[in-house]
Amino acid sequence: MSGGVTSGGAAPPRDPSADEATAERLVESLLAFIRVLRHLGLGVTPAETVDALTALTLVDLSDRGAVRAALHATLVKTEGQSALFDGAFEAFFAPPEVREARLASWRRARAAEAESLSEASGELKFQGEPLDLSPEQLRTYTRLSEEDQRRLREFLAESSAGFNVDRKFQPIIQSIVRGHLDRLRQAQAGPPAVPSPPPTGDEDLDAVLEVALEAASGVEGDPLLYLDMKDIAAADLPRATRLIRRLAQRLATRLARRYRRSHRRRRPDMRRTVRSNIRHGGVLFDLRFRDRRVLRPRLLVIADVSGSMARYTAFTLELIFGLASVVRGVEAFVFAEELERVTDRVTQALKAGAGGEPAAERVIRESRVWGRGTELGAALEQFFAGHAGLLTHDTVVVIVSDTKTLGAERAARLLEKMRARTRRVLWLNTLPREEWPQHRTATLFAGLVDMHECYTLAHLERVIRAGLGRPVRRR
Amino acid sequence: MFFGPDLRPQTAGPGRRRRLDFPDPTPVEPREVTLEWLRAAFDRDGYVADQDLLVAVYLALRLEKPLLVEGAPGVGKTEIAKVLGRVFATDLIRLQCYEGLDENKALYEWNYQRQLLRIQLLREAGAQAQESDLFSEEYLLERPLLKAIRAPRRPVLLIDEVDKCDPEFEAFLFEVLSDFTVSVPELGTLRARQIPIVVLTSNNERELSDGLRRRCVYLFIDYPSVQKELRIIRSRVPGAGAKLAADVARVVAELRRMNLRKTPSIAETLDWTRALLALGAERLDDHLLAETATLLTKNRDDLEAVRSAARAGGLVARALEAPAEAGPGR
Repeated sequence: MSGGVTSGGAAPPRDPSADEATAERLVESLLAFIRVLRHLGLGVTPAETVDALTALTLVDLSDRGAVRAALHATLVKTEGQSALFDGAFEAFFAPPEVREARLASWRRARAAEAESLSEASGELKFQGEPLDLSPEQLRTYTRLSEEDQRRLREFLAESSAGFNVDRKFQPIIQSIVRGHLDRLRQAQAGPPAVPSPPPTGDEDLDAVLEVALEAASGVEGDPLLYLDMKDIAAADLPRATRLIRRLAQRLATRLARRYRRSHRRRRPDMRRTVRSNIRHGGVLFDLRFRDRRVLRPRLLVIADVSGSMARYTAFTLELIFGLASVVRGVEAFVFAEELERVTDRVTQALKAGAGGEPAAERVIRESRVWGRGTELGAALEQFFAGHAGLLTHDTVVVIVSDTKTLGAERAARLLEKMRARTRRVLWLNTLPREEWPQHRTATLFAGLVDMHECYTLAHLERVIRAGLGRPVRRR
Repeated sequence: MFFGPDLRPQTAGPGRRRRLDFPDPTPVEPREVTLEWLRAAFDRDGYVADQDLLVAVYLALRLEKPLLVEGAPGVGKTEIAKVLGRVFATDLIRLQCYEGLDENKALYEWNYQRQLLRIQLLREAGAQAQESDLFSEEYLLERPLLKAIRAPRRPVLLIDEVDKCDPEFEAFLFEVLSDFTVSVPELGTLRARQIPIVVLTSNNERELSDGLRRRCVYLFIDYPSVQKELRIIRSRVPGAGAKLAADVARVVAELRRMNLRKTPSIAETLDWTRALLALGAERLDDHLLAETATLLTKNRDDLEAVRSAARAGGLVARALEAPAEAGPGR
């Protein structure tokens, strides 16, 4: 990036052909940079490209900071994109020798990886034939500990040599190994901060992308946000608790918002208009309008505390406490095989102050249903029998559960009934979205209510930010 | 320590911020500003701006696009619009967004009462009212958006907390901001004489639509670094001594690392500094922090957390030892 445009003004008159060449180089490198940004997931439109180009003509091109700020102001549109942009800018507009060195090291890394993959593929053989595994699966294998690798090799060796084993068994063995590696990959996966883009084929571009992603991943928020909530260590719990509470409070304010339709015109209130205009001699001078009273929605939380959800207990409770501490009159229920109303215990605990661990422990200790099997249908039936009055068109129901339950049909029927009677039913599912298709109940319930994947705090935040614009009533 | 009433003149506060020892700059058309001019103008106004901020504002002015400013409450988003109003010596028209804000309140309304009076008067005089008389500009109540479009001089239009309004209104706003024309059925289409300087602020409570974002030049204001905050304090609270200002900047940076429910912002820092000044403090200690923590925190939990940390001792000392270049904490 060179060229000596004085800040703020137009370029001083120079040889026009040299100017043209500079301008062309400028456009080319801007387009290449935008290509990098698009690969990183920033949707840059042509209009923004034009803006960025115009912006570049307005700043001093020899001032690196000004160029960065100009591109940032025109190409970045949300806070989250900022880190990615910074990484990309540093990597892309690096001095040539740095770029050269980076490209070389990138090529070396690729070569080393290709070698280790082919080595892995050589090690995973069934009866002398390499198994058909994806590069991702091979990569998982290379990342395994020495011990685990050996176990897998031994398994293959033994099954290859087994009595009466021939080529027919190859597909079975192959799918066992594939499944095993896929499971291991999920277990080793760290925080999924930014998904790495597929290779573009352009080595220089790939090298830039890698550096940019690396730079961005370090600052991508609190790592705690991306941890599965059941895996949060005891040491991190107080911090996690605070985060959950803060998110719960945001969730509560979003859910408990009053909505008034803005595009509909107000309706005049004849009675009040006539009465207040008697003093004007009956001329309808001062119009009175009928106010639609907008009630604050009521929140109703139904949390699954069965055995399968045991490890999310801390999350569930903190969510309830968080919601209850901002919105008055939150009704809280927990269920496993049976339903139990915990509203009073929660409010008492909140009144007693601080909330926190002791209060949560008390709720658990006094609970009859904790850690049992799940039967949502029965729990909901109990709910309709005893507390149906709580369901009004102003109620927002929040269900926290992993959908693993018995009696799915009955539960589905009751959920539908619940949805019809309330403003909305929001389901926070602790099961990862990619596992939903494997669970019949998850797909069944997801079709009925507003279901969101929610097993990390980042998910919860996403639900709050994106999913709750307006109460949506399906169909 | 002396806790008596402060008899010194209060230097800070809106309206007094402008330093008078600089001559007023030659007025410049917003479309023709240079980066240097803008930097000098912001400096003169006492707004401490880094390059990112200046370039974003500068581009918004030069490209005639709205400026979308995001950041935590109290970092000086709204202030940008006010500064621009002062810098260009023009009107600041403010539209505060809230749930349920609709076109009537944002654009225009007919002055029904006045129309009715007119009819009555005409009837008593025995004359016939013409409909076109009643729907003339005389009876038009301008609301902020229309006012900005019809202003004789290029105004600054501040659309505050745009994330609070409903999505429908946001779509409407988007339409107005893209062509700056408004059609009033009775009057016809009103076109802006010049495109206003538009500043939108958002607390990021709701995701704004892509379309609106794309129309704008984007600026994110983070919590300031210790040095920047120090400059802000010196500029806004000139009465504060060098030692006190430095202490305050460092302690606030330390508090931002504490993971409070509401992280103290620049607004709180300035309030606190003014309070410390009123108490006659020249330097900070844990005791003083515990006493005045109410100005930094906005809820009970945070207040307790800060107080107990300060009472336990060492909070101020730790803050002063922390490396100054430590970035903004969250």
